[in-house]
Amino acid sequence: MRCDEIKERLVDLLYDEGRTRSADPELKAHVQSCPSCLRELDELGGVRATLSLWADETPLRPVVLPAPRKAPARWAFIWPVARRFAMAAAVLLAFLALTNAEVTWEQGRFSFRTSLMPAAASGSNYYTKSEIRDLVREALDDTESRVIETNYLMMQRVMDTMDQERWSETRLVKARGNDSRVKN
Amino acid sequence: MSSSEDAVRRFLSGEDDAFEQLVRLWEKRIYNLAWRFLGNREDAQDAVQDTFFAAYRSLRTLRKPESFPTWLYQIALNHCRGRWRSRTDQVSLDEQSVEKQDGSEGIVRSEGMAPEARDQLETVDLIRKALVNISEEHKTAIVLKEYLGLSLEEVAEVMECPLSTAKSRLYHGLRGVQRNLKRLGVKS
Repeated sequence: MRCDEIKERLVDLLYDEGRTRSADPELKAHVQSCPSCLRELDELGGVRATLSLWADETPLRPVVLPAPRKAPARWAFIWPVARRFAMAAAVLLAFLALTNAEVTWEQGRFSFRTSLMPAAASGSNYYTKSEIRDLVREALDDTESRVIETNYLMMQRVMDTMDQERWSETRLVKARGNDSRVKN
Repeated sequence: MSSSEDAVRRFLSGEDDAFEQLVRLWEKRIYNLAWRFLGNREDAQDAVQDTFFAAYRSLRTLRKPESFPTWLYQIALNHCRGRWRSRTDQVSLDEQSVEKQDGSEGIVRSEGMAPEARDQLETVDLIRKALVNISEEHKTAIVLKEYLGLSLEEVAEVMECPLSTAKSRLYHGLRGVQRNLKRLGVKS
């Protein structure tokens, strides 16, 4: 056993704590046979004796006690519970919204469905290609017939106007003819 | 069951008054821990006050009432370390001797005392300087072992280190105090 290896273990011998003191008889034997280690042990004992001269003192002032905690109101426990409940409800609603959840009641049964994409609407709200084509065609036909009808009405009106003007001129010519006959 | 443990249990069961009992049981020990660690009475008194305020705030989190002493020592040491590091006027080995100081820093005023008592006060003041000027970890080990009388295992528990580390810190702490005492001319 080398002296420099056991320096820190001198503490075992320095403090009379039965378990550690008796744990290593080899250490004790070395220290008793080694003048250097024995001297160091004595010196450490001397330091302990010097330290013990610094006696305990009484505190300058008594410790100021903290203010007692306020007793919680009778229903105060409700608020934390309500707050947690509200947060849970908000999270649940957000989840349902994000997952496009659908809850339906059909034929006496609940059904719950979620999807990342919005659920497809029923087929009746959509047109097939051929339906769209027919609709476009109908619309075009309808537009064309309206144009033709409008043109016809316009032509009719023009012809009526021309007839009216011709009739007026004829009356005017007849009236002038009668006048000249009377003069003659 | 110790009276501290009993008081802790009563506090945990809602008896706020039990804390006063804990304070009265422990304030002197915590004050002396802080006084040895900081070497300044006013700082020690403030550290004690801070320690008990902190203990009051967090005592409800203590799971094992029987570990209250270890827990309280750890709180006190944390406050002492904080105060020690924030101090601008560290105690120096070259500080004035005790008879030239006022009562706040040194041990006490020694004027008009018997020579023997005066010598002892001076020695104690030198011990104070020798102790506070070693490293925090070494000083902690010495204060816990020498002044609070904890076992080596309890020292390791408070310092949250292996037993061998606690012994090492104690050994080097004692050697550090020995060196400082020699520099100050005190025979140990």
